Amino acid sequence: MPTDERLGIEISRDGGMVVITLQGELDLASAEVFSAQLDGASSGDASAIVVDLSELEFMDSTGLRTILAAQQRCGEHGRRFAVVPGSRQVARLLEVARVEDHLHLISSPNEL
Amino acid sequence: MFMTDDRSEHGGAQTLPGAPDPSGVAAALLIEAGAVLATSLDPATTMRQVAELTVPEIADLCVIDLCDEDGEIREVAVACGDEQVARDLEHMRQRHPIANDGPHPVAEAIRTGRPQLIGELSEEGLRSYASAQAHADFMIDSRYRSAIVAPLAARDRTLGALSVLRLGDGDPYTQAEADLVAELARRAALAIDNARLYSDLRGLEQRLEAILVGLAEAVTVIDREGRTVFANRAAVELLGVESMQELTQAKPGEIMGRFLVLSEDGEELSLEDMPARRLMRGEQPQPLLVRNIVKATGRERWLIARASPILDPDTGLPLYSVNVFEDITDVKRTQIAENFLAEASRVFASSLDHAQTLEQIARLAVPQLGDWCSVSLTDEHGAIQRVATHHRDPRKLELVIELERLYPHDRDDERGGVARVLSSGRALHVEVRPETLAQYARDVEHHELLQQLQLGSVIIVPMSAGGRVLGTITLASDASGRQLTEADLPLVEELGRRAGNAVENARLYTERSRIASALQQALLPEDLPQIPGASLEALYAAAGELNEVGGDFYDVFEHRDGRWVLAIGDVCGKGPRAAAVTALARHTLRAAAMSGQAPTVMVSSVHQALLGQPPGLDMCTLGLILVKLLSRPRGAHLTIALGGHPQPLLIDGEGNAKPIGRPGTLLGVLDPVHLDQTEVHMNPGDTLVMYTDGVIEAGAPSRPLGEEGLLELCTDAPKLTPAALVRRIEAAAVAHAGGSVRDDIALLVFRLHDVGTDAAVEVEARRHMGDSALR
Repeated sequence: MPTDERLGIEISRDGGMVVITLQGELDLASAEVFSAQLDGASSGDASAIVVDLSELEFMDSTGLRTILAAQQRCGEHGRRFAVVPGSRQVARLLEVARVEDHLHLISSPNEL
Repeated sequence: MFMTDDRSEHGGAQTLPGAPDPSGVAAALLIEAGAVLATSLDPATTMRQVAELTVPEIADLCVIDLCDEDGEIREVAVACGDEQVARDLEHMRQRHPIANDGPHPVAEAIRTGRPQLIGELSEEGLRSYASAQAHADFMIDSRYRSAIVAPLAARDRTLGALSVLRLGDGDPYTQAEADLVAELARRAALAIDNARLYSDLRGLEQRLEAILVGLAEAVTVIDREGRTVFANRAAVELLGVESMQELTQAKPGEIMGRFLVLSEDGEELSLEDMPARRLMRGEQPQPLLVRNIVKATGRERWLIARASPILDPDTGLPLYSVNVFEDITDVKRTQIAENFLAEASRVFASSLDHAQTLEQIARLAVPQLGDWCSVSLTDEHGAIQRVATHHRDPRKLELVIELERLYPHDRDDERGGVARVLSSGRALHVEVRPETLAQYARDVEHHELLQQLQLGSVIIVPMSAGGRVLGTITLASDASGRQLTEADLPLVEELGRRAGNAVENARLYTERSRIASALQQALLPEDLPQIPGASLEALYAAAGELNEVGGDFYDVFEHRDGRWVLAIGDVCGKGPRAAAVTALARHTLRAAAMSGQAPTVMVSSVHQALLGQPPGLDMCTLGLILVKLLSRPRGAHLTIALGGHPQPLLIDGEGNAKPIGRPGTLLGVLDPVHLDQTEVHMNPGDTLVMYTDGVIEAGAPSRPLGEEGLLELCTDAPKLTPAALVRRIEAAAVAHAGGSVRDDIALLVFRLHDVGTDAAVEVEARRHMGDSALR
């Protein structure tokens, strides 16, 4: 489901687990679209959210902030939250921001 | 003439007195026939005339039977000295028509195409011919004596039969008489056929003319000499003449002279360009779209002109040109309006410089909408300022500018249309007449200038936004050209609305840019401090438009005991919220520095400050280096703390660059944060580069500058002054981003001087520090 010129968002459900796969670029321009899609997908009986960044080409600090905010909201609703890191740039961003300790990083959605 | 008049002299049934000189009678009859048959083109009249020709010269009774296309015997003309007999026979034919396959000599003649001579008609014979008992009785009672029935054949077609009869005691017909009647029948047939053809043609013509006259499209027919030979009602109306006669009597080209005929592009067209003329020259003209303006009234119409030829059957050359003019004014106007507004919107969207866009709008409106367009705006004091003027005629443009210079619009002078529209907010349409011009003039000279403009009509509309009238657009036409009418008002009013919104947006934008720029300046240090034995250069470049406060910042200030703090950071987001967070971060840092705290504690205090903010997602990265200058050995001791910020680069005198410091958690969102403090020695000649992620992300994701690219750039650092290095990095980032970076960029470069080069670098550094303060 393409939702922005440069950001592609795909949502799949498996039981209570919702996997949100991002493609393209998650930045200042597309963060709101992603945020809205994520809120929509994680309502109801979802018990775990996985944001899969393995196909994401680029993310900036606004994108990271959006993911951290999503994690915070999931925590408030008792949902598990995990991230599959993506490209070198994305991985580097997570490293520089030193969020590994705070984010539940997994290598594939099946891991959860 | 021995037609009807003569016949009455003879009265009743009469016989030809023998045939002493049949050739003389025959010749006279045929000459008479020629004369009579040439006079009429009406089939019924022609038939009657033929019938009457024979009575009483060679017949007592003459009957012409005609068949229709199916061979049925239908029409009949009867001539007889006894009119009662004639009427009775006509009646008989109606009640008892002759069967075309029956034995009647008429049917026989038509079938065979051969003349029938029945010298002696017996009672028995008559009964055999009769279609009914009454018919037989009629023939017997009328004393049918002798008969010749000749086919009426013309152009390979048998039209019917001509019958001549002698009644009573007359002589039987001879073969010579039969030959004469046959010859007469041939001539009569041709005359009747001609009359029929003519009648058919005439009927067709009348129907065509009825169609043409009633057509909504204007139709004219023009002959080779260019004379109008026909014009329908719509054409008469379109061409603005009183009647078709006026058109047909006009000299070629005279009517066209009443119009200004323009092509779609506004080029004036001559008579020779018109399809009718081109057709006559032997060309095959395509339909031509023309803009037709009646010179006398300025009324405009858009027409599609088509011409098709009526060819001379002999030469194949066009004899006439049939011209059809389709009026597409309404369609064209709508199209023009839509195109114009779309174009205007593009102009408004192209720039926020309203003086420039309004100038373009004035140029766009001329000559599409009018001959002259002026745009005025009210300034903050309410005075009217002219911002754009354009006129089709350069000489008149000068005149208009002169007029507006000598007689500027005065809000309080209600004689001026602009002032009236400004105060009422309503559009104005004026048809200017020489005698009413004086009421707009302020003095004699003004009147003179207005006269020279030769105005025809004027529309003034308000430029408004949010209920406020910001200015006006004046559109005027020359007296000679197309006049502006009430029908043009909606388009010009819409233009006024769009222009008003564009001007308002531009004003708001300018205002916001001014505020943003002022705020941004306030968020960065006014001037970088001078650090002995070192030089500094900094850069802040906002991404995209200048109207948003960006989130990158840097700061350099003294810590304690001759130590310095170099700080660089990136607040997530843009706008007022980002500005507030930036201010908070900088002031917290400075406060923490004053109390002499260690780098990690200083960074942590910013984190705490952000957490203390109202709930939100204020997030910030911060790179901080505490510099302790060393004199023996010369150099500096660096203590680095990073909160989610990219590692600074330390470049030695050989151009070897390495990232320093250890990544720490970004600030303001996650708690607790993990921060590390790293210590590094800096040698004289070494260069320190601190940057925000906008630098390495420039051009991402397709061709980012990246950390590798930045390291590569830095290998040349020893050869460059800090200012040159900053410019080089900025240029590389912009180039990678294809001209426009996606995020703000901040750079801070610190160079520890080599012994002996201090003075030179110092001068250079100062010069560029001046630059940076202006950014």
